Amino acid sequence: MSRRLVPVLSAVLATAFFGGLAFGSPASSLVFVGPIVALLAWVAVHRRRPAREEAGWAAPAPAPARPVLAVPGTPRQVAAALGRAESHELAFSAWFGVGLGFLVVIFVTFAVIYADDNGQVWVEMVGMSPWFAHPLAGMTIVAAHRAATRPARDGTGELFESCPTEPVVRTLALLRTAAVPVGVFTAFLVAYSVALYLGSPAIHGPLPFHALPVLAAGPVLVAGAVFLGVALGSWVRFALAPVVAVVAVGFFALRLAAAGDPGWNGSSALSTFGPQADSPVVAGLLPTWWYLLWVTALGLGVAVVALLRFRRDRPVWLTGATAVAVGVAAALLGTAPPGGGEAQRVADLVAYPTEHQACDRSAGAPLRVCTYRPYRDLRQRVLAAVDPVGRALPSTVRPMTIRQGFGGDETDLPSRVRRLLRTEIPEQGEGEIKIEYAGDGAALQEYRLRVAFAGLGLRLPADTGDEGPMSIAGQARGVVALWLAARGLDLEEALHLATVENPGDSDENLVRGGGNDAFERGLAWPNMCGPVVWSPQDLEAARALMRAPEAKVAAVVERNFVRWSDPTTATDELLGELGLPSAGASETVVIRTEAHC
Amino acid sequence: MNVTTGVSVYGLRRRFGATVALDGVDATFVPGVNGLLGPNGAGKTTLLRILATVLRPDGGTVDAFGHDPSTAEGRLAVRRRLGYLPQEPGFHRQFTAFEFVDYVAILKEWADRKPRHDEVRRVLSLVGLEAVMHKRIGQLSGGMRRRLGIAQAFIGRPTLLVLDEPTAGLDPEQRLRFRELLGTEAAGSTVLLSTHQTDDVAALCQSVVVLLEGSVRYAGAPGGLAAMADGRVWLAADRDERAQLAWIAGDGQVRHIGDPPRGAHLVEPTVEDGYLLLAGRTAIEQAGAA
Repeated sequence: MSRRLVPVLSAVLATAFFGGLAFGSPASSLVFVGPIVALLAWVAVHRRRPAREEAGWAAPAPAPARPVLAVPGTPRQVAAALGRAESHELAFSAWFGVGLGFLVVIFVTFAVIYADDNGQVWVEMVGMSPWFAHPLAGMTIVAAHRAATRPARDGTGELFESCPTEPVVRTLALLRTAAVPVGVFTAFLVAYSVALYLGSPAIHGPLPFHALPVLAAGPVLVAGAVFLGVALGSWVRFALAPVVAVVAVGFFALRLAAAGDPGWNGSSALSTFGPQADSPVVAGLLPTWWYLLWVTALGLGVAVVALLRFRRDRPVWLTGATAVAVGVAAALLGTAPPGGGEAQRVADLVAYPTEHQACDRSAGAPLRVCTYRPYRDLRQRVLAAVDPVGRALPSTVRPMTIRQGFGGDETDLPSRVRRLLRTEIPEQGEGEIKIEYAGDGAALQEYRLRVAFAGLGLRLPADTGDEGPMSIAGQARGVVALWLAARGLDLEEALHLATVENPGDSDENLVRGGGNDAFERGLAWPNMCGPVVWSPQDLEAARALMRAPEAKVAAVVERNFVRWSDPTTATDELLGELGLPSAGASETVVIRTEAHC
Repeated sequence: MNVTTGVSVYGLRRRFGATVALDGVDATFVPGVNGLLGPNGAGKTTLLRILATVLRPDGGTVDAFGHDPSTAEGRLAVRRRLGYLPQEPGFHRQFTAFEFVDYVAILKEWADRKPRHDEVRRVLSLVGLEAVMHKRIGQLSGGMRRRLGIAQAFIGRPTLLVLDEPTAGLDPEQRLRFRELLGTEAAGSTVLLSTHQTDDVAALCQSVVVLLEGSVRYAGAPGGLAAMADGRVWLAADRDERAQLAWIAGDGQVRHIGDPPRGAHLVEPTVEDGYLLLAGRTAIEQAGAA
């Protein structure tokens, strides 16, 4: 290993290790312990020897023929050669290594360790490209600034100035180093996408054409970071200038991303983080092409600012004027209301989902799943998950439809779409279970529970308009719901469904400083923000049912299903019917209505 | 002299605030090694920086091989012929020696990789750094860094070499190697060499210019500078207060420069004697004026 790799590798590994800890995924940090130990061992073995022996200077050999630079390189050729040298320096820079470390953290955390938890749609995953680009971009700004100010810092400016290459050619060479972060980030995107495709089967949905500009924006942003670093270095040598710039860009980008309505935010197209939508239904309205043009114009404009330090001729001014014109046009058009036709189409998707959906029906249960047509894979995935639950319900239970729909309110829609809505945003219909777009393991468990609850006639707070959550402590129907929801799972998965992994570990509990009370130990809903709370004794009873022979429990459940659906039937009555020992008196669960998750 | 084969300056002036660095310097530097002597602050580095096109004079003109560096075209033409070693050359310590010289070679418009790398290896071998060329500059000793600076100045065998104190920090053997290097590599080139080492001037230079307080006090052959002290250098057992300068030489005798007393044991003057006589007299005049 080359000694030059040590700084950049150290930066990558340190960032990855501490980044994993900071972002709450210590598991990802552990991955880097081995490489860190290996690097430290290498450094220890190859540490610098004490005083180097002076290399001798023997008498010069007879001079060969005078070297001839037959034709001096053109500025373009010199810029290319210098660009390669500077690219090498950038790639080995410790600052750039920190940016690489952030990419490693992202990759290991989301594409490896928590790959199974990814259940979003592809449009949302692609929309993360600009977000993922920001840490690398920030460090690249610093690295590029240091490259641009290196001659002044190291005292080589006078020597370089005495050479025939003009300073503007050196600036062009520095701008060319943008190829390094662009290549790195593109490679990251490819590797990340492949890893998600192979390792995150729950990611679903189409990848429409309008999502591609957001994907492309990531490489454009990191190229712009080089341009900004070089421009800053050309005009402002102050060492903290790039840090100030990074903070300023981050501040304004976040402010722009959070401006506007709580849901729909037209000005987010001007944020480097990119236009945002809370629901994939409206993602098609995002001005993604204008956003890509906007960040491209920003990058081009900054590059022109760098060149203006040393060259102010017509082509440079024209390029600058073009960047400004394109940027202004992209800003105006990107923040303009969406086109009428597209807005109407989205309004119809929101208001009349049934007209735009396809349904798959269970072969052995009164159950069907309906999603927007492009979400066939989600439809099949949800049906496969809830079908065993539906089959375990008695035939007397009335048919159910799991229907995908827009989960937000009017503030999540552009004003033009709001005006085009000819009806209210539909609520969950009678006999329906409304879902949105999530298809990960936790979401599927939630769908199983909701089918089980619906089969038992238990209406959740969201169905009744009440504040959640509600307590079903000590009620047999809660235990039966867990048993039903676990149908089709192996025993380990089933027991997991009825187990609170980390009681007292919720955010609310941390804030309150309490913990491990009956409320915390009764939170079995997969995402900790569920609408119902069991008691710890109910969960123990549910686990006992899961361990019992399935046929025996199924027979008891089906035979007295009306009784088990009754909220006055106690958990111990069910256990007695099955010949299982009593779970004991249920603890009283005091409901926390304020932000329990 | 044909001006297209050398460098001439006419009435060169340059101030730094209230300090006059160059005060109407006229000089001609012919092909061969031209020495530049003078005490600190005499204006040597300022003159060399102007000739290296990194500093603009306040007045006067420069003619380098028929080119005027005050124009963009002239400056480019001079820079294409130039090899420059600044007085305090900086280095990118994280670069290897090879990478640094390669970088300078690119700046000297060697865009093609293969011939450039060949040239980089050649100049590094000239200064004996080929064995450490892939070491980071931060790991090199001060002497090796100085040789690295010399190496980059020889890229492409420039026809104008401007070397500001190139032997500072070199040991006697390395100074000898440097002299050999100039003899082989700079043949036919116009070399401007600023130094405090008068023996370097005596050994290397065809001509020498002595600068004092921004003005030329001597321009000519080194022998002529030595000859200025003809009949004014003598040895004695004890220090003579009438001498302008006196010091104990290696043989234990006191070497004097100045007007000798009757019967003094006169010796052959050196370039250093001539230079010290010139510079010492100025110093005495400065003291008298004060």
